[in-house]
Amino acid sequence: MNKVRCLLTVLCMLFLVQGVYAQSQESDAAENVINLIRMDKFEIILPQAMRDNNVDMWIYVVREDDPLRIDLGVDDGICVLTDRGGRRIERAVLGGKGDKNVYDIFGSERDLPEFVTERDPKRIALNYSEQGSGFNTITQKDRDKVLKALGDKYAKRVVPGDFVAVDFLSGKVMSEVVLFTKLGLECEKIIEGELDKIVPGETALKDLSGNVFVRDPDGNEENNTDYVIQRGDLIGLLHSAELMNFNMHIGGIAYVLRDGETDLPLEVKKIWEHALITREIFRKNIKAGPTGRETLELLIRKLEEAGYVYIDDDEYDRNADPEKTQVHIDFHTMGRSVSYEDAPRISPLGPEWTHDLKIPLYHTFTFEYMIHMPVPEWGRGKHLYVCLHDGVVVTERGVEFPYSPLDKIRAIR
Amino acid sequence: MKKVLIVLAFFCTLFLVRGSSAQRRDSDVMLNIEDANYGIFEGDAPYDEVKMLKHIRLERFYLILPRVMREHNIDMWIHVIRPWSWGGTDPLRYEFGSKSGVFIFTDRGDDRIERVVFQGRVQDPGAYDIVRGRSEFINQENYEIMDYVKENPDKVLESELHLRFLGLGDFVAERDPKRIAVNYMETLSFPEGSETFTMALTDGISYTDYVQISKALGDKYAKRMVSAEHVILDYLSRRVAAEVVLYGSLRAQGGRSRSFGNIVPGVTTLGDIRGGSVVNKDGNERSGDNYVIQRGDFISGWQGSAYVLRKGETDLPWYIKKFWDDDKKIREILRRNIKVGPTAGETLKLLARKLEEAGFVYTDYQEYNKYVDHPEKTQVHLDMHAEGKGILAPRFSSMGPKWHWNVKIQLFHTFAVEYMTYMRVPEWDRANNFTGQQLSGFKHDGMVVTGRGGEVPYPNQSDTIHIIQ
Repeated sequence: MNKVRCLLTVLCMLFLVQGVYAQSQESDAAENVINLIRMDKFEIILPQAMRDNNVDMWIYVVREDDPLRIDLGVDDGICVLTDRGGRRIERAVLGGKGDKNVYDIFGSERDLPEFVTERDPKRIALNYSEQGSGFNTITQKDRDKVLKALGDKYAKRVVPGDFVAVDFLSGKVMSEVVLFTKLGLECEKIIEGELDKIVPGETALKDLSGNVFVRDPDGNEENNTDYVIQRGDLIGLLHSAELMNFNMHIGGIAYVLRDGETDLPLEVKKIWEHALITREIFRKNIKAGPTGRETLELLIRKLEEAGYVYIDDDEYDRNADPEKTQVHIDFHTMGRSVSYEDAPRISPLGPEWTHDLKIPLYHTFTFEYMIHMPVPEWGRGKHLYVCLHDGVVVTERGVEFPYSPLDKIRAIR
Repeated sequence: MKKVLIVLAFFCTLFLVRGSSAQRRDSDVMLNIEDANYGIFEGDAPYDEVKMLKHIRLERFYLILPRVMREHNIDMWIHVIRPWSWGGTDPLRYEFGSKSGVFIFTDRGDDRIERVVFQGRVQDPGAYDIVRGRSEFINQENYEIMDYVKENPDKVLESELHLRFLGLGDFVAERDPKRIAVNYMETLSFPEGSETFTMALTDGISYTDYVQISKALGDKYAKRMVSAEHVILDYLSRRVAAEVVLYGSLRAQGGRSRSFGNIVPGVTTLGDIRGGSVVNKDGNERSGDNYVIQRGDFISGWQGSAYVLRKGETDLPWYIKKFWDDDKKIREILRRNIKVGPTAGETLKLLARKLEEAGFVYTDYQEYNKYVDHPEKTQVHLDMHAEGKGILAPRFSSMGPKWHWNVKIQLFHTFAVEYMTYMRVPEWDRANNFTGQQLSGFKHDGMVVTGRGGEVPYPNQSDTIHIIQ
């Protein structure tokens, strides 16, 4: 019996050690990636973000729960970023700790007045917003403190820093595109696993992880409820994956075959064809440079030219041409946990000001669109619904899929 | 005892299942396909490799193929992967997903290129518009030829060899191309380098194939044949975003740093820290798993570097600091000056000039030269070759054939940041009888060229030095 115990102990220890080692390696690897992204963003994105916004100093007061804490690499303190000409931006942390690989200067908060005077900036961005964006992060107390420290001369030069923050976050370096994709592929695996669990007539939507939904032919939606999945249902499932300050979510679609069916029925095949045709329209017409609003207008025109009805809401429009398939769009940014709302967006949704933001090069976002296809043989107003949600990146060549987008509606037997 | 057996059986089953799952995954991908990809698929991919490979193939057909054909003024590209070599070293077997076939790409005027597999098998038929073509396009691998001969006794040819490209003439005539690129070589040479085997590159068809294709096309179209060598090279040297992702994620997967935290000088061996080599306090290199790490040792290797402080030292000695500072400067110069557009040769000249301006000596040779005018300056040798496609071009290096340097740097070019540095340490030189003892370094990380310049798609393994007390 002793031998059994010894063997079991050795095996358990082996797995424990392997597990701990693997975890620590994973954690190191994740940290290395985040550090690389931070370094590259300071090198490549930051100068452009400050210059595009005509700002020569960006003061960002970081406190404990600030959304940019990881991106800036500062836990607590005043981050002062100064454009002193040349290729890079001078980086200082006053009164706190920061990533030593990123920052050039460390000092005390008391140094702020002298520090600013010496650099004599013309426009100073501070982390507040007049747009009601999520980057309105400085507390009143800190704001008063900073303005007092700057003195009248420099306090007058202070402007909202939210646009700099938006550009800093929405401009992507290549290592972010790599991470964005890796998280997308993780989501894909999870979604497949969740769809594997479906047992028609037994599994409820709430039994599955993620955002799971089914709409009936009248457009009524069951979403993560105790509705039990039935044969003939067309199910959408969105799931996310995260790594530190990065987040990604994508979608999958499954059809539950009816008794006697061996393949997807014609109407499901047809809605999938519409999904592919519209995907191609989007792909061909989105470029870096124009604003989200301009792009949306273009896409609406192209959809209508191709015989579709564009709808602002994700609801079937009963007043529209009953012969035509309707399409709703919400191409929001993806990749970071913060800035989903405060970023370029090709959509009727979200804050108005974000629609006027230009789509930057290497912008990572989602092809999230919904197809409402009338099925006249079911009756007037009856329709089929799918939601697609894939990650894409805009390069010099237009839209590229960094991984394979959804390639079919999965049939569940 | 039964319990022991049950436990053992459980673990054996576990390993068996894991093993067979890995085997299944490998067999899904075409046999030896990784040969064509410079080892990029040797890692343990975190996702479905077959799906990713198919996706990349489609993205390339969609984004790269029309550009390459139009820029080279080619309206039909015929690529023959000869079946009897079963793919051999054809550089496009991954790109086309096949180890045998006749591939015909035709620019018929709209956004996309028509893709046809005339004879042969492909991994991904969905990537093509026509696979094996119409019934008269006969594949010699099966019984169709026998059926054809029986059904068409009047069409039986003098030699079965004539069947090799049967139907090709009609197919081409229907499309009436003005310039037909075919995979034979005219000017490019074979040599690759130490890091990849010599591939057929653009030298695909044999003399016999050339004669048979010419016959099949007839005089009118045979005269329109040109070498596809630059089309092939250009197609290989361009990347889509998905390839950058694949490159970045697999390289990151393979390169995890090691821990130096438990080193005890005089006790820990190199084997205990997973190998590598050291340069000792006198500048002499030591390696081998049994070597016991000493104070004053500079440990270097693929998984990170460290210095073991000598008694009385509180910081790195001057030569290690300088070596590290130099390394940062070199990296920055490389990163800042590589752009999309120029050729590799033009870029190499620029990099050499920038290195010299920054106080380094650029050297064409991969060795220390103690006779240079300024021996106090750190010498740098570059061999930044392409990675990910089985060819080394474009290559920013003094080595390799001329055409390696003439290839332009394309968007998303992925390459090795491979360079060697040689720094003189006078006290080592004295200690070693002035034989030219120096501190040398070898770096091999990855980079991608975007519209903004050089970017790092995955964490470098060699940009920090650990200090061991």
